[in-house]
Amino acid sequence: MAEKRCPTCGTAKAEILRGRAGCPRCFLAFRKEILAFLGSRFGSFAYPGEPYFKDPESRDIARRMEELHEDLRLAVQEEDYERAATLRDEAEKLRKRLVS
Amino acid sequence: MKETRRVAEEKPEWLSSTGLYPETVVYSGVEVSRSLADGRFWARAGMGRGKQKRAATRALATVFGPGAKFSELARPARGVVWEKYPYLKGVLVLFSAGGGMHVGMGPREAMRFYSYSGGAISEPVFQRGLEAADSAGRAVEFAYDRELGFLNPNLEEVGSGLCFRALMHLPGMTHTDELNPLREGLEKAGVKTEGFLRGWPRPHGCLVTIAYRPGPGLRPAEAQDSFREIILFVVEQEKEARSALLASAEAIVEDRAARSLATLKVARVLGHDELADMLSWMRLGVAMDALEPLPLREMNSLLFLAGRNHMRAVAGKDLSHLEEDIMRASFVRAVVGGWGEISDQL
Repeated sequence: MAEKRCPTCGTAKAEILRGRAGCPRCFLAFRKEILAFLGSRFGSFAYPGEPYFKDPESRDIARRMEELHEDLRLAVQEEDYERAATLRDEAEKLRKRLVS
Repeated sequence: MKETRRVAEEKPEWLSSTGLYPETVVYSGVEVSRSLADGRFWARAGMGRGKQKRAATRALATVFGPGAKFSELARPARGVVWEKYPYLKGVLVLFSAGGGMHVGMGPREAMRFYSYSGGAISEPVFQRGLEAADSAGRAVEFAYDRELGFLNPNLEEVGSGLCFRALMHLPGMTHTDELNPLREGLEKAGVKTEGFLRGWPRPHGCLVTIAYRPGPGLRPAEAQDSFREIILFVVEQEKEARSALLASAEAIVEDRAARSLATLKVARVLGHDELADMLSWMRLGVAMDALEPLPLREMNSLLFLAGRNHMRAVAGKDLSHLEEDIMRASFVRAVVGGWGEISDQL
């Protein structure tokens, strides 16, 4: 059976297992293998940094969303559920804008 | 000789020793790896990577101004770049923005933003590297995944793409045979160590590079804190080792430090490894008050500017080992000639 390869750059699975990717599409084609690799090396693979968007508007939205989520967390902690609901709705609106 | 004097006057900012613990931490900094979103990763695009090159040119011109031409330097056959900027060893420097900020192609094939300075890593240096990458990311699209973060050809650089590095002067640990236990301890924390000029467990000049790649699961600020803790830990270990060394061999340290300075002033043939070892004794001697203060910045510069490739660059031709060592000795004499008086008074 032929070895699995990335449809865009042709990188083989064996190379991915050695820790090398050929193009951004490799991360979709070999998602499972890459997650396993990162899990074994670092334990965790979820990127907690600020999300990256090339255009400034999306970056601002993403930053605002982070702030809202922090405020939401505090509101729930303080049991201010009315404010928490408002923040949640606002964050949801922003998320939809970002996705669109 | 005129040329060697000119070279001796070059003192890169990252060797300035202005940061924290400059005696133990020669330089430190951060590398931020980023890859372009389009097509194959840079080095895998083969010869036809004009599109990526144009995109990168746009990005860098945006960050560093229109004068910042993104051009691939011919591989520095004479090695000037690598000797002056040893943290870029094996790297093709694509653009130098001054002040310890460079953009280059690492051996791992991603575009890297290097930000370095003398002494232990400082907040502004760290921010400078991140901001440069950030600004470039507004002008050109980087490969990014919401779950994994920034995507790079080397899977160990996926996520924040950060790699912290520091060159540390560890004579105490070297001479008390503590380097191997240190290496084992650091490896458990994901930190790699390498001896200067590949020497181990007795690295030349007692210089050890430590490299920390935090992986995708840490925020950049957390990773920076971890790196700072690692450096502080090594600095503390080195302090203890130096105390032990001084308690058991003070006279030897004093002897080696004074003899090293005297030897450099009169040397006629001098190897790079030998120079590194002598500078190390001198640094240690100054730190332990066995020698009168010597200019740390000059000592750092001397260490790198007297490297093999730099000597060849100054000569403008290939040199035999002997020719190189003769030239190095002459270069070193010119720099060290005016340094400290050696007293024979006990």
